Amino acid sequence: MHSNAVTGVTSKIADFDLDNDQINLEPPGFAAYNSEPPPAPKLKSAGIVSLDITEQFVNAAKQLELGELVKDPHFTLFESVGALEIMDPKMDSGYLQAGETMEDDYDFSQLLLPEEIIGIIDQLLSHEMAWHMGHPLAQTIFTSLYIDRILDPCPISLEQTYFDKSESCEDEPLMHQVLRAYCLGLLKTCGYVNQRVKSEHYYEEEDFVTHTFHRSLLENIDHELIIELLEETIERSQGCIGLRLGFRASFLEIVEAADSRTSLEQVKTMWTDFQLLLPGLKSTTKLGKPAPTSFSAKIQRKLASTVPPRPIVQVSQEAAFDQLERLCRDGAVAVEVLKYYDSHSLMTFVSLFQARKPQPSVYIRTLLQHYIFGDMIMLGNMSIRQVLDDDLSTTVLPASQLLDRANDEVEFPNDPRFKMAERMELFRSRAAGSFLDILRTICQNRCRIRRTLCHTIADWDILQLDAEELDMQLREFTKETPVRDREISDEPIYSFSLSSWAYFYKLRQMEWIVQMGFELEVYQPDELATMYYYLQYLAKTRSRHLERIKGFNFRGFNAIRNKKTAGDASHDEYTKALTFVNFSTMEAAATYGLADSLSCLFTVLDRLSLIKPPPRPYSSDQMRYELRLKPFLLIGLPELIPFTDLTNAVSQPSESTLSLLKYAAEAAMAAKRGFEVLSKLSAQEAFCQGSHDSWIKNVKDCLKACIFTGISIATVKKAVEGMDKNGSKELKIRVEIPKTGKGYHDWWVVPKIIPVS
Amino acid sequence: MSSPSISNSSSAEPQSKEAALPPEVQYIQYSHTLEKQYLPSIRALISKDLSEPYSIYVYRFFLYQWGDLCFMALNPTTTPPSLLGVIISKLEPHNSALPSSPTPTTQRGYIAMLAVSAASRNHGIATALVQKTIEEMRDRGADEVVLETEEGNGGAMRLYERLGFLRSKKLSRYYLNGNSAYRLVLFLRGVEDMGRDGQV
Repeated sequence: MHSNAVTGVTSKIADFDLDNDQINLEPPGFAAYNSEPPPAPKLKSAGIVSLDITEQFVNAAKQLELGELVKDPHFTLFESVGALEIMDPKMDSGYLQAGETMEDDYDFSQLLLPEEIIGIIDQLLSHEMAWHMGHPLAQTIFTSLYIDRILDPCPISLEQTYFDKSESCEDEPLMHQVLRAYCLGLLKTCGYVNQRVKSEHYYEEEDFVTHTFHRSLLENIDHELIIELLEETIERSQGCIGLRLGFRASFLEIVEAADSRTSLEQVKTMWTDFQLLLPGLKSTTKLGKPAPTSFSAKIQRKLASTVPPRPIVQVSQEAAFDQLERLCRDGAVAVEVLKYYDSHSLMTFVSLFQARKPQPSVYIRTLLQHYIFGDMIMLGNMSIRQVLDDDLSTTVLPASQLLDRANDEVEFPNDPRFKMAERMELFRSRAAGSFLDILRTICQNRCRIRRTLCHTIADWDILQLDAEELDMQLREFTKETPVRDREISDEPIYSFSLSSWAYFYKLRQMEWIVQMGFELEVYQPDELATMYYYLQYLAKTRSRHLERIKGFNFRGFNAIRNKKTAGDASHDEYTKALTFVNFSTMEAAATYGLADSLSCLFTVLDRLSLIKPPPRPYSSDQMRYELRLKPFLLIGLPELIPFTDLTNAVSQPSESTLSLLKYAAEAAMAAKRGFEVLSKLSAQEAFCQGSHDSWIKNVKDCLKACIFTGISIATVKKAVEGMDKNGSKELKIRVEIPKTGKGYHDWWVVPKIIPVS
Repeated sequence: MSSPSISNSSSAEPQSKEAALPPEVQYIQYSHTLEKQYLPSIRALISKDLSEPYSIYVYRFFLYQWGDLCFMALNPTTTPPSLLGVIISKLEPHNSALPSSPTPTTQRGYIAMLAVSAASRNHGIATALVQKTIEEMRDRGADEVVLETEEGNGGAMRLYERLGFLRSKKLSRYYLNGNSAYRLVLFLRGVEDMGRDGQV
């Protein structure tokens, strides 16, 4: 069952203000022993008169047949999934098995051995990491009886956190103090993490469970007091216990400091230093003695939840340390996003960071969002306008008067500069959200990236049209002189800079939608030829579009090159924009080369029946085409390739198999050369400043995919030629399609050709 | 998420070649009068693969409203005929959350549950149940049929893909056990014709 429904309902029920005394006074499972219905709960709501309708209800219910359903139209599947059956042990949270007690009977005054303390602490660390992985607190950290003891009732001072309520500072046994200090540090750490996740864009339950079941994560207790307690306890401890307390203090300090957007180096060092503590911890877990009786699934009955206790989540120590190590590594990298170079490098940084395998955990992903967008200030010190203008300048508007800040100062409404400022502001207000959403979207989990792009792509189509309108208005004020080129058109050709920019990003996102489909294994093997064809179509369209942008940038550049007055700044801006356009063109060329090659190769494999389509009696090619291209059906530009054209373009019936293979080999070779050139670019030239290493690795993985494609093509060619030569009807090869993560690059599904004897 | 979902067909596909089936499996359409006789075994069969059971209301939600989209596979050689497999679905107008969707409103069939008893698998019972459902939905004007299935459930995925379904999206950590799912979709009409003459 999908879990969202139950928790949703749970929290609704928990908020319902009923008279508690009346409900909870009854012994558990009363219905089984008591034929008299309990008195109706008293609703405490002003202006409402309550009336007991039990009798009428029972009488009405008797008129119904068993299984008959009476519902209003608003009672949906969601509601029915949230319904519970009383006295079903898997649904009724109050149902007790014979001899089972409602609560645990645990002696908090019992003394604990140091090895038991280590056992409990290490178990808590596993639970903490399980929570980071996406499990609810109720099935992880909150299953600890010691944690429950601290949180219930909600403490507002350290004095209220003793396990043995008769204890005080003076007589608390050292081991109790150790555990208490650790637990307080742990809860406070979780408090910061939870707060961070909740403040950003994430998907509850799908990514992470921030639900605290109406418990406080020590929001009322001062950070410093907990750190002091930890430090004081560290002084009294030694060996692996001291190590664990130190670890906890560092973890707490990091999550508190990590939010800062002004101390990049410090935060980075904190993560790397923190990571150095892990091996010591890891190597001493074996000294711990598990204390399973100090954890209980039953505590869930005390939490604000209507579902019966679910099993305690078990995450191995090894998996927990893996998660924690990645957290440190990713945390140290994420903070580097604060070093801003240019908008394109920023985009590259985020997309490569999010493509790390496994994907960085939710906490780190939300930290990254906070670094980028926190308080609507980009990277802690830039306005959204700065980043957007920077992007426009390095793509379509280098050294443009449209981006001149001095325009804002002009107060005379008839001045063209006033009009430019006004129109540009209109554009920014329209485009900034969509632009930032690209960044925000690539911060989500991999499935959501594709789903969200499929939804938002239509907005970009409209944005492009809106921008076109503004482009036409603006050229009145900029006095743009059009290009006249009879070879292209009889009409004057204008730059349409803003809509060009929108089109560029629309194409990029359409490419990503197709590419993410490969990564997420959305396509069946016999769809690959078509999907790679579509990818090459989109990349080729981008490349042509960039040619157009390049033409206008060159024209502007030539115009100022000879003027001394223009100054160095505009010269640099033109160079930068030309470099970017050049780079993106090369990248598009490598992409369409390899996509073209793979499309042909898959077409050949289809022809040779090495990939067999399923029978699909209820579907047609045309309907599957519409389903597959649904996100693009209503996109105006680039035009959707019509079904028959696409089918012909992919299957290429007039080409022989060998000539298809020849073409595929050439395209792979060209792509290989393209990726090789890309791999030699500097960080500035490739607009990957701040993530050059990951970028190079990514390009090299594409390069490997290219080489491997060439090998597969050659193997198929040999087999086909062999068949022709021997007049045999048997191809002595078979095909394996690698699973995602098993090939060289998840966006390049290269079929493995295996000879069979 | 617009509506909560129900885990699908974790037991649809064969795992073992077991005891021979009766020569003829009997497929019957559910109706409310059969509730007393079959609902307990339907629940038992479906719950087997669920970590947490559905309440009776979930079954009634579907069966009371769309009983004719529920089919049972029965063994006629036992008395009373025992349940070998079952499929439960619904069919409703679906409004796209996106104003710009190419299919703003469709008659959407949704296969909610499919189960076949372990001993009867690998005999095409699940496929037959899905086919009967698709045909019934088509007769009642469905534009599309959708469902979710666990990403690791290769058997179910193959079953649906053989019939013509495509994966339209992947849903991260969709199930309570943390596993992801694929949304599988089958268009029964062209986009142009969708939402035109669907019966409600």
